[in-house]
Amino acid sequence: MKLEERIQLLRDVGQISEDTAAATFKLLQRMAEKWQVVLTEENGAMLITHFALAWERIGKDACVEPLDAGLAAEVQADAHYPLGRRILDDWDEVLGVKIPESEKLYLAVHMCTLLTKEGKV
Amino acid sequence: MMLKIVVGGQVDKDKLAQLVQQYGGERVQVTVKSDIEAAMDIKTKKADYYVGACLTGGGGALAMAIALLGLSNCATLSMPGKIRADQEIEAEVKSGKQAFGFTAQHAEQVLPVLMKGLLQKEEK
Repeated sequence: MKLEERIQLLRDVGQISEDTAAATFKLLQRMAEKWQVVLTEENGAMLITHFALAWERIGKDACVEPLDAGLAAEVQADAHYPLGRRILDDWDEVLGVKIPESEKLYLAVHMCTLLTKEGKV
Repeated sequence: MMLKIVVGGQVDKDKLAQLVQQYGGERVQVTVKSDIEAAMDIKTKKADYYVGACLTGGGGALAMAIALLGLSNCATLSMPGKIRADQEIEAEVKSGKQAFGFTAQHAEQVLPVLMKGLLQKEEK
């Protein structure tokens, strides 16, 4: 399965809205064009699935409990966090909405995993 | 009868597989796959139950399971800050759910209860 098909499946079964799917596809494009990271099923499934569901939550004003403190500290100490954080802040611009900080830390975990795989710091 | 458990979800898959095997013992055969492959194994009856973890418990852990198996076949057993009571987990098993998701940090609390419930169900 391709990453695009994953997003389409989530949309087709109603797990995510058309708007969320569109936002997710925008981010795939942004990652490739600005950050030179081509997201695939292999490297991006976790991040993109999490983002899509998080975006649904954000759209419904639903909150997620803060990330476990230990895990939050761990991700913020990760060598890939500064770049990961810049990318996530860039996503705010692409989406036109600031992703809540609570959601960003969860995304940061997956982003750091991605950047580790891609060898980008 | 050997219970076939497939680990899908997003994170800590090897740890989950180890815990499933630990609490299932000789009566359990566990495999690790991508979330989509794991959900397909349930759909095609290659596996009996799906377990998966993510950071929030019901999101990435179950997203593809829900997509392929339907929400009514899936249960979130924990989320950040909340683990469902043992009786609730047992009730989800008894109700026939086949896919279970939880927060990765709660695996060691959730899986003993879940595995006990699944094994007891299969005995009947």
